[in-house]
Amino acid sequence: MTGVAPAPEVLRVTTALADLSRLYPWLEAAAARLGLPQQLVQKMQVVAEEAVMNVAMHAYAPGSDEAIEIRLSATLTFVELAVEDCGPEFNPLTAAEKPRPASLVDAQPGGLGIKLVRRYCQDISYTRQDGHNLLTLRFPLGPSVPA
Amino acid sequence: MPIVIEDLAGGITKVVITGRIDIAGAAAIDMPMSIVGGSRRHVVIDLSGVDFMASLGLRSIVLSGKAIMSKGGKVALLSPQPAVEEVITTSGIDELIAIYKDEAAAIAAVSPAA
Repeated sequence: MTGVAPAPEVLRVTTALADLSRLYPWLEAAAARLGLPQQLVQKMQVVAEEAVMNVAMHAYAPGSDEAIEIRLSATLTFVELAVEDCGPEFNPLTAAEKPRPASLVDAQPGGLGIKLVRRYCQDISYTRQDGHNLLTLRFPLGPSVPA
Repeated sequence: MPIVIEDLAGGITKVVITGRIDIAGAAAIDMPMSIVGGSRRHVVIDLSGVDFMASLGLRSIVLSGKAIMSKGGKVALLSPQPAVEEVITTSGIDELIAIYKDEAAAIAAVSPAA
């Protein structure tokens, strides 16, 4: 299969709340331009929220004006969301998924997001390159995508 | 406001959340949900009007539910839309806070007499 298309849709935001909120309409519009199914858009928004909040909470200091770059591209078989930041090295995938708690009182809400990311994506990878964190999230595309 | 807190008869509290509980929506419900967690014991959280919710919004509900249950209270979720229900079940939260499709059943499940 061919590689990822050369001209992805790109959004750059800071971690300010108003700026982060641009993520959802951008993803909706970019997905529409790429002709992606609506059911995938909600899943991508859930995953993208988790990815940018990880950067906002772990990579950048509060009030930082450094940017997060989000890129969306598609091939015949998958959609790829790439999230890149220039913060200190942080690999969200090594934050191991917590076991399912026995009761709500034992539940640790911090592990919810990574669990959703792992279930919604077919492939997740993290690399550290040129002083940047790059998280790549792939979603399956095609008739097999569950409704 | 994306959240309305209604105190019903019989010591039941109904929390109605509406709209998109995204990063901004989660920020808006955080404090009201903390207040519910600290001050109510028998709570139905109506999610039927929520169009979108991811882990931030779910976190706010879990923290509130945890506070209620740690003091012997009960919580139920009511009628999430399919995409929101999928987020709740995929994260396993439905095993900790039950989902009901019927308001009377949800109220019965959290009532002090149950």
